[in-house]
Order: sequence, then C-alpha cells, then structure tokens
Amino acid sequence: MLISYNWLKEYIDFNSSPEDVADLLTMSGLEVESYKKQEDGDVILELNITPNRADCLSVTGVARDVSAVLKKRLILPEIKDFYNTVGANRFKVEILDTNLCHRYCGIVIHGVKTALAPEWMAQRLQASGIRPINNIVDITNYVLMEYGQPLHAFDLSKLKGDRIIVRRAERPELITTLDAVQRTVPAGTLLICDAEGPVALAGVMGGEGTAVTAATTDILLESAWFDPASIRITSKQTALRSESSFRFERQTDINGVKNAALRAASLILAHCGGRVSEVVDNYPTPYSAPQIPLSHKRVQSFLGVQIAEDEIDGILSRLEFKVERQDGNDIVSPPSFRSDIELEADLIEEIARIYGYNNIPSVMPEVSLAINNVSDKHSKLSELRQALRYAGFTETINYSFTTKEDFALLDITAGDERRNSVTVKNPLQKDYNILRTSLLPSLLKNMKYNISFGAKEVSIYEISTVFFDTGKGFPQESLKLAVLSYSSGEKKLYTEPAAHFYRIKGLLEPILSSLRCVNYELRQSNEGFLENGQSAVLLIGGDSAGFLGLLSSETVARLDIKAGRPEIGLIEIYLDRIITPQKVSLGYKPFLKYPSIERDLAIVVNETCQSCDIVNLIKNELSDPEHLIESVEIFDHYKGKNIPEGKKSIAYHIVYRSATQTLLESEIDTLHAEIVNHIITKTGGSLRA
Amino acid sequence: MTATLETFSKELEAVTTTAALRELRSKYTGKKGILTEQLKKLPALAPHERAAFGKQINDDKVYIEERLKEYEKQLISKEIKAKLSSAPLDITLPGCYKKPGGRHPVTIVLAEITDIFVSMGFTIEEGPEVESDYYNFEALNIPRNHPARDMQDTFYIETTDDGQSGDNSFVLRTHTSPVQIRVMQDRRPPLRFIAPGKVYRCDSDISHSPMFHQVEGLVVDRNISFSNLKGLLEGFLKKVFGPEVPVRLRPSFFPFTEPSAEVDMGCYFCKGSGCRVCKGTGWIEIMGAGMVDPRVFRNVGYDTDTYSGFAFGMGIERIASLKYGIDDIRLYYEGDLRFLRQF
Ligand SMILES: [Zn+2]
Repeated sequence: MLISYNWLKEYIDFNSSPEDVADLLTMSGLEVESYKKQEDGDVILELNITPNRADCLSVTGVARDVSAVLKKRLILPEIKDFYNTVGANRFKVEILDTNLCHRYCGIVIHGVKTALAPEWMAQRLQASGIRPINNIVDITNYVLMEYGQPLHAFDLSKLKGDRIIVRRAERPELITTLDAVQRTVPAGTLLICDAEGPVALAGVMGGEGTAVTAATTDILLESAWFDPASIRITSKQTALRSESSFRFERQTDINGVKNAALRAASLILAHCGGRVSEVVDNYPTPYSAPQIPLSHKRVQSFLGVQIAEDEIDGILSRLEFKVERQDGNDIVSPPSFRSDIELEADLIEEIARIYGYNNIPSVMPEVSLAINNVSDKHSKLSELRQALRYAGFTETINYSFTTKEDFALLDITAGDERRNSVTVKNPLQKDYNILRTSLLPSLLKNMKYNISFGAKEVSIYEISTVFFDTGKGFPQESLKLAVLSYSSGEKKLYTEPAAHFYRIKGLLEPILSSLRCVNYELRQSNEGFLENGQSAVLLIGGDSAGFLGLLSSETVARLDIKAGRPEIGLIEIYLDRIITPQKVSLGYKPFLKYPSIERDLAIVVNETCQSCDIVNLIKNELSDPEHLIESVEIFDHYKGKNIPEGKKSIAYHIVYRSATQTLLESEIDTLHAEIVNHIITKTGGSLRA
Repeated sequence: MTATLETFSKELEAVTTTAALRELRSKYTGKKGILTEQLKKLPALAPHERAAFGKQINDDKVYIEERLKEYEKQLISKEIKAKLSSAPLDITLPGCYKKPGGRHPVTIVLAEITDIFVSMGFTIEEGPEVESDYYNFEALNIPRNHPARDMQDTFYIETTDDGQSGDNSFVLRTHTSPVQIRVMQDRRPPLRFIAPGKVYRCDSDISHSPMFHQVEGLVVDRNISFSNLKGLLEGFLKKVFGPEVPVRLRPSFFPFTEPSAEVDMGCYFCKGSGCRVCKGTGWIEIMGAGMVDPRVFRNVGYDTDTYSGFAFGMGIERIASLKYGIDDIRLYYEGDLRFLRQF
C-alpha cells in the first residue's frame, strides 16, 4: 500500500522525519518496503501490510498505530451526522442474507454536479496509486484510503423501485460489471440488487448500468460490511480484484461503516453540491467484542522480559483496547477494527510489538536433554556425496517438474511404472506439468547444456525425490540417485584404466558397500534405452533397485551431440531401497596362522562365458569340501592375438589355506587339478597354453 | 690376505656392470669356480693340514660373498639412476588423478546449518514433498478462503479421485512447516528438531524460483520464551555470518506463530550503509520466526499451559546467495559446471 507522509501527518501531532517514521513503522510491524521523495517535498511510503492487519489498510489506520508507538495524540476529521436534515424514509435497504451482510448503510444525496475532483484530492489519490475519475467516485476512493472502508456510489435514477436488496444469487445470474464485461456468477454469490435485479457484485465491483456518469445528479452512497470469505470466493471466481474486495476479504471495521459514509457525504456536499435526503442504516447483526483474559505473569514469562503491569495496560489502551482489571489480571476487549485479535497470544504480540522486539533480551533456551532416535540416513548421504565428489562427479539439483517428452526420450513404454507420474494442475509452463519419476532426463539435459558450452566431459549426479501416482491419496515418494558420465571420446593425456561400463560399475560397487549393501546381484538389463550387453540391473533380494550401463547408441544419436564418439554411462538407483535402517554388526575374526599355497589358473573359454560363473565353479562345494580356498582373484581377461576367434582367456589367482594345519604341496596339486578338470568339463574350455 | 683374495679384489674393482659382477661371482664361487677347485685339493693334504686349509677357503668364500653383495647393491642403484637420468620426466605434466567434482552450494549451506543445529542437540526430521491441504495449510492455522493463503502461491496436484476435493486435495508443499505438525502428532515434548527440504511456489523470476530449499526449526519445551527465540537465532546467524553481524527482529505475520517476527541481519555487502542488495535499508531479511501459535498446539493436542515453543524457517538459496554473492537464483538449477565447479 502506498501512503503519503504529508497526509499521514495530518492525523498525528508529531514532527518525526519521514525516515524516522519509516523506521518506526517497520519496527512495529508495518514494514516500509521503500520510500520515494516527491517533487512537492512529500514522501511516498510503500507499506507491506500483512494479511492480519486489515485495520492498517488506510491512512488513519496507520496513523493510529504510529500514535500508539509514539504516544502522540491522534487527530481524526470531525464526522457530522445528518439526522436533522433527513426527510421521510422513502428508500429501503433489505438484507435477505444477514450471515453474509452484517450491516448496510445507504445515504441518498440529491442534486450533485459531477466534475473533476479538487486538485489536492486527485493528487493524494494518485500518490496512493488510484486513478482519479470524477469528483463522486474520487471521494468514495478518498474515504476508502482515509478509513479503509470501501464505498460505492450508484446513480440513483437508474436504481429501480427505490430499494436495495442484499441477497445471494439463487441460480447462476447475469451482471455487466463496471469494466463492461458481462458475467455469469454462480448461485450463492452475494449480490446487491434493486427491485429488478443485480446492480453490483457485493464488495467486488459495481454494475455498469447504475454507474455514476457525467449526467448523474442523484446518488445512493453505499457503505456496508460483507463476510470476508464470501467476498474472497467471488473475487477468485470472477478473477476480479479491487481495492474494495482486497479490504473486505481481510475484514473491515463494522463500527466504521456509517462514519465512512457520513464522511463521504460531507465531502460530496462540499465539493459536488447537493443535499442529503436520507440516511438508512440497516444493522441486523450487531458487533460484540470478545472478552479475552490476559495474565500479566504470562506476558512476562512468554516474552521473557519484565514488562510493568501499567506499561502492559498502557500499550493496550493506546491501541484502543478496553482493559478491565480482575483479580490482578486483565479482561481485554479489542476494538471492532481489530478482528485479528482472538486469544491471549494475540494480545501478547500487540504488547511485544509496541514495547519493541529490540527491547526484549536475547537468552539461549534452557531445555531438557533427551536421547533421540537418530537415523543415520543423513550421514550416509553425506558419505555418498563425498565418495561421488572424489570420483570426479559434481552434484546438480534440478526442478521436480518435467514434461511427458521424457518418456519418449527414454522409450519408456505404457505399463512401465515410470509412466505413473503425478500431474500438477497449475504448472508455470504448460508442458512442464508432471513430477519426475526418473532423474535421468534432467541429467541428460544438464549434460547437453554443458556440452553447448564446450564441455568434453560431464560427470554429474543428483540425489532427489521422485513421485509416483498411486491412484489414491498421497503419491509414493522415493529418494533416487542418478549418475551420468559423458565423454566425447577425444584423446586425453592419460588413458582410462578400463572400459566405460567398468568405470561406472566401479563407481557403484564401493557406493553400495559404503552404504553397507552387500546382498546384491547384477544381471543383464533389458532397459530399452541402455545398450544391450553393456548394462545391468541391480537386484536386491531379487527385486530391482536400479540399473547401470551405457546409453544405447540409438538414444545417443537422438540426443544429437556434436562429438566424435560420445559415450554416456548412467546409473539410477533407489536409495531408500539401499539405505535401510538395519544395523550391521561389525566383528573381528582372527587371521589364520598356517601358511598359504598359491596357484594360478588361465583358461580359454567361449566369449559368452561369464567370469563370475567360473568363480562359482572354483568355489564349488563339491570340488573344495574342506574349504581350503581362501580367495579367488581375476588377474587377466584377454581377447585377441593367440586366442581363437569367439574365445577369451581368463586367469585366476587362487590362494589355498587351511585353518587347522600346514598344507602339503602335493595335497594342493591334487585339489587344484581337480578344480581345473571340473571347470574344463563344465565350460568346455581348455587350459591356456 | 690370501693371494686369491688379492686377485679377487683387483678384479672386483674392474667390474662396472651387474652382468660382469655375475660373471665374477661364478668365477669364484660357482660350481666350477676357483674356491671349489681349491677345495678339491683338500683330500691330498696331510690330515693335520686339512683343518687350517679348509677354514682358509671358507673364510675367503664368506669374504668374497659379502664383498659381492655389497658391491652389487651399489651397482644396481647406479644402474637405476643412470637409466632414470637418461630419460627424465616432464615433472610439470599434471598428476594422474580424478579431479574432485563440485559440491552444490545448497548442499554446502544445508550441511553447515544442519551441523550447527545438531551440535545443539536438534534432530533432523522429514516429510513428504506432496502434502495434503490439511498439513500444508489447515493444521497450520491457514484456513481455506483466508487471505493468508495468498502469501504463498501454491501448486496444486491433480487427483484421480476428484469430486471429493475438500480435505483430499494435495499440493506441492509451500514450506517445510507441515513437518512440525507431523512430528508433533507423533511425539510429545520436549522437541528440538530441524526439517530441511525442497519447497515449491508458483512463482519464477531472477530472485524467485518455483522450487527451492528451506530449513524449518521447532523447539517445544517448558518455559520457552520469545527471548529464547531471539537468543537462539542471533547465535545461529552469528555462527553462519560471523560474530560481528548485527541481527534484529521485527513484528510480522505468519498464521502459525504468534507473536511472529521477521529476522533481519545487517547487510553483508554495504555493512549497513545502504546498497542495491538491501534496497538502501542496511538490513536483509533472512528468516521468519515466531512463538508457536496456540491454535497449532491445539490442533496437535499439546497443552498450552504447560508447553510453549518457537518455530523458525529460512531459505537455503537465499543464505547461499548472500554468502557466495550469487545474484541469479536460476544458477542453482541449471546444472552448469562452470558454476558448480567453483564450489
Ligand atoms: Zn546493503
């Protein structure tokens, strides 16, 4: 809200500078966001009024708060009543819905002359961000700014049947509003009607047909109290927001309804001529102030400061709260313009803000210690981040929103759980209306972005929540880790130690072991977007917990990367299936004291034969019934020269050791030979020459 | 010294390679070496001479072997050195290692904040990012059709079982405050926790992002006062921004706290004299806070006569932006390595 310093000054007997006032307002809860010096020497303050402070949506309202802080007198304009000049009660106001309209005051004025408003008034309106129109409308807006009570002027000659009826729409009804738009409002909307039909959307906007024009001579001035929620609903439904609706939905001062109308009438008589013919005040639902008990002790303990009892009562009184002492405590009634005050805590806030938050000491809390059940999830996640960082990966964070194009990009077909995305009703960008079920498309986007700046390698990861629609109630949320490693295939100073697949597998394995996940298995993956034979699915307890592998060449081609031989390695795993709360018990096993015997074994097998199958054959129960094999390690894997087409050679280093005795070479020679035979039989391979 | 040894010593001096050394070794101690040959003379000697002769040969052997071993070490080290110095490395080539990746500034700041609160005995709590209307608004004293709902532009979630909107409507949480309600429903005081996480607002420009990170904090115990709230938050901000930073609280409004406060700190950039960042005021809004509103305690069944508490919340990107001088919030979500690798 924009407010003029000079205008404000009219209502308080003080001489603080604009800077001081701005600071004082900010520190008492009416934040001044900016202040601008005007050419005429005035200063315009831009106030950020919080939704609870409807009483400060006017110049006198702000003045009241300033006067309470400064302990200076508030000087309000004198309000003149017109009872003596009012004639016969010809004009009727009927309130059919007293729940939504608690009060309606109408003043009938005859013989006005529309013209431009006086210069000073137009200037003040402009300073407040309101466009001057004509003297009648400007006066209603002036009083709105002055008192915070919205007013409306009807052209009396266009109101049918000398009456106003306040009612809800019984069915969808038609009205053309001041902005010349014909609108259908739903049943239940609060309407101001004349004898024939709607003439205004209550509290939101007047009707076009009854608006004041240059030809207007007789007017009905409306000042009323409408139910905040009802006005808010109408304003939302019609997408109409006005200075009036803004104030009504924050609740206006029901006891100020008539005063504002009288104030406007006086100004109209003074600036537009005419005479008041009738004042109708229909007030069927009288205001009753809440009685709130306030314990001084509680004020002190709650704020942590010893505020004197007189000071407490003084602050409340300056804010126009009624205070009655009862058994050493207070019973407090807030004024009608403070509908936000309902409980003791609300009173304590009033006391604190006028007393000054700065005057309350800062003291660390004294608390009770407790043993907490702390999950180790967060420390595991930071270990994980650390591990990825030192493996060369940079963390990215992407928006949870994405588009359905992700599915096409990764060939995710109907029936795949990743299609069960959650939809946002009101996205910022029309297409970005679903929440992610996979983090990979975001990482691919990050990758392309960086390539466009010339990156030859992109190693990134993200740890974020993904969302699955469950068809009912809360979506299912899961924490995922996704890793992307892109290399353009260009020559580098030092050669990579292994093929891309093994590099990302070598990234995943220590991650899993650092997360104490040991019972996992990797199997050939059949993800459509991964390269067949260069990818694997991660199984934990038989269930899929993610995958790793190279992006298929078809998908890479679709990404249209300008590089010689782009390679993209990917991992995506469900962290919450891996980080489980189960405790891993650590324990020490003594080393075996007998010497070991070591043997190497190189075997030529079919290319399709899997290395881990041979390890399983070596560690077979049948061939090693006494468990003499301590470890089996692969030390060579070779295809090419000297090995027949379609074959490969794998070499293992086997350590034999007994827990109970020193082994004899001859004993191990026999065992080793048996194992070799077993493998040759099972794989159809041969010993490498 | 025997004649054998004298000859050996001379010959050893002439040796310059390990290959020559091996030859010399076999010449003296090999199967057909000089010492072996000498030993063959033993049976021909008179019995009383044999002992002395045998000992002599053995002593020579020990001596020769030791000299050879010693000399061999020197030769090997000389040879390695010669080899290395004949092909010196360009030591200015980079070392072979994986350059560590960048940390995300949000993660850095979040970790710093978490550490501070954990050091004070706070636990870390979590809640879902898609929340029900009840947890995100109603339970926090933000009723339907109340202007307080305008304070946070909300993303709504499409539900398949529509028709019964009402309390079944879901939103992307607009703050991490719903975690307060979830924890209080679940546990009794004393409570002391922070709730970090992503939040969403339907808003986007240079300083607003539709998704950002928040840390919410809650303390509930006997005798918790507003002055405790001041004490804790001042201590926290001084820990993050330095002991000299001025901190002030001013009245504000949050539906779930009463009294409510906006927490400002002295402008990091102009030190209070006024600049573009602080819009000339010398102060920067950094947190929202307040005493837990009794209406909220009532919603979770806490006795407001026995317990009081305070809550606070802060935006992580905002703190990171101030700490690192980041002037465009979109940088956090673009995944630009030129940005991220600076951290
Ligand atoms: Zn500044």
